[in-house]
Amino acid sequence: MLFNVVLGIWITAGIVIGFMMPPAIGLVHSTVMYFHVPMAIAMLTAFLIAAWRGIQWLRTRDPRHDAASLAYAEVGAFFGIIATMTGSIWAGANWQSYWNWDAQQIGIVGTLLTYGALFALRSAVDDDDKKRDLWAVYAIFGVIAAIFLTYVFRRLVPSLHPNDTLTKSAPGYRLTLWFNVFGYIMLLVRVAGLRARFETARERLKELSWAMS
Amino acid sequence: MQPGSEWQSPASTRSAVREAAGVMRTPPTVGAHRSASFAAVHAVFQKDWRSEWRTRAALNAIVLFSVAAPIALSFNVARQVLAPEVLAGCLWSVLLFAALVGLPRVFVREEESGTAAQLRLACAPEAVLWGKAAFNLALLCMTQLAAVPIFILLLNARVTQPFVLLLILLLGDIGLAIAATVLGAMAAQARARGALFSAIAVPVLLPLLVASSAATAVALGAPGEAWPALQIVAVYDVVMIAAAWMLFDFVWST
Amino acid sequence: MARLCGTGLGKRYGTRAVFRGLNFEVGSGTVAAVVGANGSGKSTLLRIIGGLVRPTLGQVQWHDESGTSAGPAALSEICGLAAPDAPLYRELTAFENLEFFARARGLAFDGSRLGDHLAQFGLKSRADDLAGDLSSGLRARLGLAVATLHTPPVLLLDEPAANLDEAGRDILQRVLDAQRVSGIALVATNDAREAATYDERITV
Repeated sequence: MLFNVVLGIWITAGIVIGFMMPPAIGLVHSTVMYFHVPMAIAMLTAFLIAAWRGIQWLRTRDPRHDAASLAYAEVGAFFGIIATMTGSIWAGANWQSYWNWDAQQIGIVGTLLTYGALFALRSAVDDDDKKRDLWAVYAIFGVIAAIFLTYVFRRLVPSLHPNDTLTKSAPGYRLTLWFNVFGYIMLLVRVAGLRARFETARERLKELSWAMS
Repeated sequence: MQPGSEWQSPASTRSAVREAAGVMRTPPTVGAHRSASFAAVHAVFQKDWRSEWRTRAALNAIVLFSVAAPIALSFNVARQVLAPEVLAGCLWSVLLFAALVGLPRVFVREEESGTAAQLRLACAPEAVLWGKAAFNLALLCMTQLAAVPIFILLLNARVTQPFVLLLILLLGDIGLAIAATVLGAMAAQARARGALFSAIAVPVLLPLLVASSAATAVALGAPGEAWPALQIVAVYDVVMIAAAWMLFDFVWST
Repeated sequence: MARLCGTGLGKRYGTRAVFRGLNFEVGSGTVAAVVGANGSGKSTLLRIIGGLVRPTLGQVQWHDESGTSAGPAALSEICGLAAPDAPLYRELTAFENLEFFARARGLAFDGSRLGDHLAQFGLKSRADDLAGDLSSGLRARLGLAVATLHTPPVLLLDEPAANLDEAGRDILQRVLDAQRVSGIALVATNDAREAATYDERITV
């Protein structure tokens, strides 16, 4: 409970400070960046954690790891959708075009596609254990692809993403950004934790109802 | 051996499952009734090659698609000269879709005809992985020998760096083959096999697609260096091979 | 003495239960019939024993001559399985099918040894015919030939007599007799009379 309260205050503070920060040079409505970037970072963190929990499932075969992997993937996908939408709106305001196919936009679309395929795979398998095995393996392949798409392609394709502008323009930018990143990652952990517990309970219920029938 | 029923409480279920898991993870004495040697890999490759050569189903599908797609494209392009980046993107899209059509068959056919069970019993998982990956690679290389020149001809592409083109095709094929093998094994065990394979393969192959297109663009005349993109594809290949090596057993075996 | 034990086995797919609370123990030198109604899970049980399907509950253990016990991973290596409708590679000849499985298992062989093995199943004359061209009975025999190729300590036969003619059933009997000498056989069958001829019974 205390954690929830602290988290709520933290995120609210992050939002307020974001609005109070001076605008970046050459960019319009730069406040949105304090939500867009943390969301994107949280999405990738979620994917990494989901893949890690998948590895734990493969090693220990404890269904709680699989439930957690599923939870992080679901919440991460949601964060990713928000990140894409905020980024697109911001791009529209700045460069009059909602979609430009720059390196990081490719990255986030590819990552969301991977999430979607992950869920499609899970729902297409009937056998419980097989479902979890395939999910874990695909989560690992998926996060590899996501890392390639997000970080590796900046070297190839010119990006509209203002990776340098902001660091130079707004003082305290870094602090605000990481403050928000931390807050949203904590939010991720909280929400995914709840989802994982719900999933574990559901599986347990199924197991029990079968054992007793 | 009494037939009987025994209700097992859920708590002991989990420990029983975990115990079973511990026993399951003990590696069997490979070589006692199964081989993971090169001969076994070769046996798998040869079996698939023989089967494929006698039916030519996947081969036909890939070749027909690889020829039909550039024809369809060139109708629309109508003798315009396209920029190298566009041509490269088109080429790799054609190659990707041809792969999506032809490569999953190697596992789907096994699962659908019921031979997958015998394969699981008789073959070490590594033999299945490398044998089928080699088969997929051979299939890709063979079909691209025809498809790529046809593409270049029909769409008036000018190859300024043929060595780069050959290299990127080879590296790209390796990535395609290994990814398609693991993902094909996964999709073959689910419902709606062919459709699911396309859905799960595209996101994982997207980095390969983008990097290969970038390198091919340079080979077809775009300015710049192909080396950064080639590096990315090479790293992708290595990472995918390592991941396949470590994870295939979880996909293939129970 | 080698033993195959199943304790507390159960299997469900999603919410559909196949069977539960199954226990059995079969010793070396035994042919056991696996009986049950249609859909009761006879094939599933055989596949669980062969390590092809993971049970939802319980476990299968194999204790070999020297007393070491092993689980499903080792079992799937040593078992021979003949599934119903003999799924084999239809575009390969009977001989090529056998050759593939011999190579895959790392068995030392030569053409004549494989030919002899085929001859034991009455398939010598059809060795170079595609498996898809064989009749269902001959394919069933080929399935038996493949399953017994590596002289498995545990032989799992799923409705083996279904398509066999008189001669085929003799061959099956010879296979089971040979298996009694060296190991265990489990035969899933719907035929009550056939089941009665075997040594033991597992009811699913």
